[in-house]
Parts: sequence; structure tokens; C-alpha cells
Amino acid sequence: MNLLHYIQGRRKGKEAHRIEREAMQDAFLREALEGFESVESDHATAIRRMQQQITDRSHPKGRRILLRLSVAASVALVIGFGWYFLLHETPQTSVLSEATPTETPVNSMRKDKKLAATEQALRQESKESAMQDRSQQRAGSPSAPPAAANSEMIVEEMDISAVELMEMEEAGTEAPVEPVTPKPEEPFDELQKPTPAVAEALQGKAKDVLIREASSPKAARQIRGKVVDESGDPMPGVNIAVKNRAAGVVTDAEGGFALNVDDHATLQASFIGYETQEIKVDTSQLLIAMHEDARQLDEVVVVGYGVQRKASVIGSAVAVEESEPQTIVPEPTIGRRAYRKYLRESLIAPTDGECAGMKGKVRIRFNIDSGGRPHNLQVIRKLCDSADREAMRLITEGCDWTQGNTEVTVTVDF
Amino acid sequence: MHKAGQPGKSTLADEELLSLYRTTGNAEYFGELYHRYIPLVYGLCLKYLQHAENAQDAVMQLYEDLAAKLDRYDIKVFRTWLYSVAKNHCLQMLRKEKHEIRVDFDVQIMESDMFFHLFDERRDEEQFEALRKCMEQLPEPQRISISKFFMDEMSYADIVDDTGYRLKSVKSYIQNGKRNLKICIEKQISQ
Repeated sequence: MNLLHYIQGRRKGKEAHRIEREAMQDAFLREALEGFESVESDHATAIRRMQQQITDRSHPKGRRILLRLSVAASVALVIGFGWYFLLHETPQTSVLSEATPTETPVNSMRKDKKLAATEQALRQESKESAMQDRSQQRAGSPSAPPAAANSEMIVEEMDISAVELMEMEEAGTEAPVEPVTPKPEEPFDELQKPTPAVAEALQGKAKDVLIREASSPKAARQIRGKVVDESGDPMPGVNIAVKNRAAGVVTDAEGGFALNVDDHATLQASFIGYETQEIKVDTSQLLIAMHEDARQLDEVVVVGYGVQRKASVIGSAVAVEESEPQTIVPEPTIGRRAYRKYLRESLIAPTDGECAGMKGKVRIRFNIDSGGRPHNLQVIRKLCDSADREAMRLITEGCDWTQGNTEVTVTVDF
Repeated sequence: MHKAGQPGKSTLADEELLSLYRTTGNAEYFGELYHRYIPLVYGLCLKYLQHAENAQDAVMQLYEDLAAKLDRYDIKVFRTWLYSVAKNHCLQMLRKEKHEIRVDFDVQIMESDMFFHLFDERRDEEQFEALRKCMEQLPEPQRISISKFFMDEMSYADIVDDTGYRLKSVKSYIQNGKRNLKICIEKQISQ
């Protein structure tokens, strides 16, 4: 017998006993059973519905993987976008028809490609959101995003994801864009094809997005590049900015980047400890070599949180000579204040006999590994067993840390 | 793309699914893993949120959150990790809504394995003798409930049928009986 049967009320016999006895030794199971007993509802149906939703979400339907590659936030908004149209179909179509197309013929080919990619993504999302939507409505909690007020923002986001989709398409290696054809054997057949009205709305919207991009002066073209250091090794994390514009990207793990720029734009590649490189864009493939900047390094001052140029530091920071070993204390990536807040708010006060109601401090010393995760945790000030464990848990499950060359000590108040 | 569609995915251990998800990034693996724990996570959320729809939202939200940032964690045992993450998530939701959090001081203390071994087939004489003595000292309802649960392997509902006690009483007889037994046996053995 499984847990579901037990939840549904079949509570007799050896199997039921087994679950009950397990719950005595397993806090997870025990608390779950307490939960099912304390709230009256059809739990088994709810569980099956959620399991179905998880299966739907995690099952690769065509281009799912491609979407995961794009920024998570924009994916979320694209989902919202899909919902938005399904729920506000008619009014939105009429608004869209007012948009005046001003596209230039030069770019129309590229835009068609982009349009196709965007539309694929939208269609994919709308299909999935239609399914989710249906089950959401069944559950009686429609969670449609607030539509009208957000439409501008959604459009902005779409712009980004359209560009990303196109880049991936052009790269052509990891994520080829293929047309999504409805599979007849799937039970959601009627939902696969958007209704004509929805398709029209989607198309209109996608056009609107592309028009905005095209209307910027000296239309963008895509360049790709790679950043290497003096020995030719790729440099991840280098800031690539377009001079005099807000746009910019950071190089990936292989030192690669892709960016849409105007013709004759200038790129600036910068990385702490290296000379900033300026490169005129004249080809669509760039190789940027960075040179170490010895001078810049002795101007770097440790200020407790992050690293700043000397010129921008006011107050009591002291310049450290390069010859002395510098102490760089790792910092929580979310910042000290947010980290203290995290410790305060995520703490689960122990309730066992030894520790219940105990007040005091637990101090833990640890190192940060190359992945930014705490390791070698040592309790250097104990309170009681479960408080010590709770403090360790908070740190292990907490945010990543910046790199440093010394250990960190964190005090958790109980 | 359909690698994960192999049969037998459901027979993989939690940690195997987890490492497959980490190496392939295929959401199906994590979906399968999370699927297993939905009943537990949902029950846990029900306990803290006391509201079926909110608990369902929490279950789905946790899935999205975890799928996105799983690789930032060094997870040894997925089950215990998920337990603490899910519990935290629900407590966090309560804090956000500024509800008062009821702290359950009646939480059962995790029993050491020693207690459960008392009722196993092979036990040492000294402990068995102690158990026998202590059982005799228990008040009758506790003794009956304990012996039916641990020795006859009856469920709570079976015991209710058998004895006519109320369900709540059976649970507390067993709970209190266990505590009394433990204290008594420890005293016996240390003598």
C-alpha cells in the first residue's frame, strides 16, 4: 500500500501500521500525515493533479530546452504573455491592429526568421499555458498576470528573448529551431494549435516587438567574439560594453559572447586587473586579447565589501602594498545585510528537550570552495546539539560566497 | 532529447536521478524525483499553511524554485534536504503573510534506534527483561496500545476497532507509553 491509500483512509492492516511506525522515526512523513489530518479536503485528487502538472512541466515537448537557455525571467514573462493573450484575446487584437509597421526592407529577411522563432516560442508557451490554465481553472485559482498594466514591460522582455532565440538559431549547434508540429497521439490535440484569433494576436505582437528594434538608427547586426588572456586561454566573466550605450554582456565560461550592435560601434572589454580594451567593430567575428595591467593592481584597495578603485574610496580604507599578502575575506553574494536578514528569518528554532527556548550564539568557521560554497564547517562556539546543527544548515543552504583567501566566521543568534 | 524516456527511470534512486539531472540538465529527471515527494511535501505544507490551495501553490512554487537552483547545493541525501527546504519555504510564506507562527512544542522527540530494537526478534536478555518489567508498570490503556502496535503490528485504526478507544487516545497512549517505557528501561539497565 502506498501513502496515497493511507491518506484516502485505508488505515487498517500491516501496511498501515508500517506507515505509522515509519512516521515515528521520520519527521518528514510524520509532519505530512499531521498536515493531511489537520485540513479537510480531497487530498488524493489534489496530489494526482499536482503530479500530472509536474509531469507536464518536466516532460520535454519539443523546444523546451531551448527556452531554458534563455534568461529565466524572460521565460516567466513569456509564459505570462501567453496567458495574457489567452485570457484577453479579443480586446488585445484590436489594440495591436493599430500599430503602424515601419520596417525597412533590408532587415525583413532576418526579421522573418526572428519572427518565426518568436512565434514558435510563443506558440509553444501558449500551448503549455493553455494546459496549465485549464488545470488552474479547475483548481479554482486562476493566476493570470495583471494584464493591461504590464503589457509594456512584457513587450520589452519579448525583445530580449527574440534576440536570444535568434542567436541560438544562428549558432545552429546546440538548439536548432524546428517547426513544432502537433503530435496526433497526444491527448491535448485541440489545444496544440492556437485558435486563429490567438495566432493573429501573437503575430501582431511579435511584429510590434521587431519594429521597435528596427526603428533604432543604423540597424543592429549581430557580432560574436571570444575573449582570451595573454596566453590564449579563454576569459569568462569579462564585461563587454558598447561604448556610449547602456548595452553590454558578460562572457560565458568559454570566453564567448554575442551582442547586437550598430555599425561602427566601439566595444569596451574590461576585467579587473586587466587593461580595458577598446575595439572598433568591423567584422562580425572578434577575438579580443586582454593584457594584465600591473599598475591597476596596486591601486586596488580592499574595502570590506567588494573591490573598488582607489580613486573612488573615501574614508578610512587603507591601501595595501602589493608585496604584503592581502587578506580578502569572502562575502555573501547577497551582501552582509541581506545575509544577516536571511539568518534571522530562516532560522527554525529547535524544539527538542535539550534546546527548546535556549538563547545564545552559535559561531561557525568555514572556508569557501572554488564554487563559492561553504565547506569545512566547524562549530567554534557551541550552544546545544540541534542549535549547532541548525546553524550549520543555515550556512550550508545559504547563498554563495565571493572568493577570498581566508576563512569566514559567522555567528548565528538563537 | 528523449533519452530520459527510457523505462526504469522510476526505479532509479533519488540521488541517481539528482545526478542525472545535474549532468544532463534534463528536467524530466528532476520532475520524476519531485513527483515522488509531492505527497510528502504537500502534507508538510498543509500542516504549516492550513489551507489546501496555498499548500498546492507552495508545492508547485517549490518545484520551480528548486529546479532552477538545485545545482548550487551540495545535497547528500535528497529526502532530508527537501524536508528542510520545504519546511523553510512554508515558514517563509507564513512570515510574509505576517501570520503568527504556532510553534509546536509537542513535537515528538526522535527516538533512538534502541527503542525500536526492543521489539525486534533478536534482543538481548537484559533488555528484554527490562522491557517486560516496564510494560507491567504501564497503565493498562498504554500497555494494551503499545503491545498491539509494536508487537502485533496493528495500525492505529486496527487498535481503535479492537479496543473501542478513540483514535486520539490511542495515539497519545502510544506516545506516552513510549516515553514511560524509555525512562523506565534506561533506569532498569543502569541499575
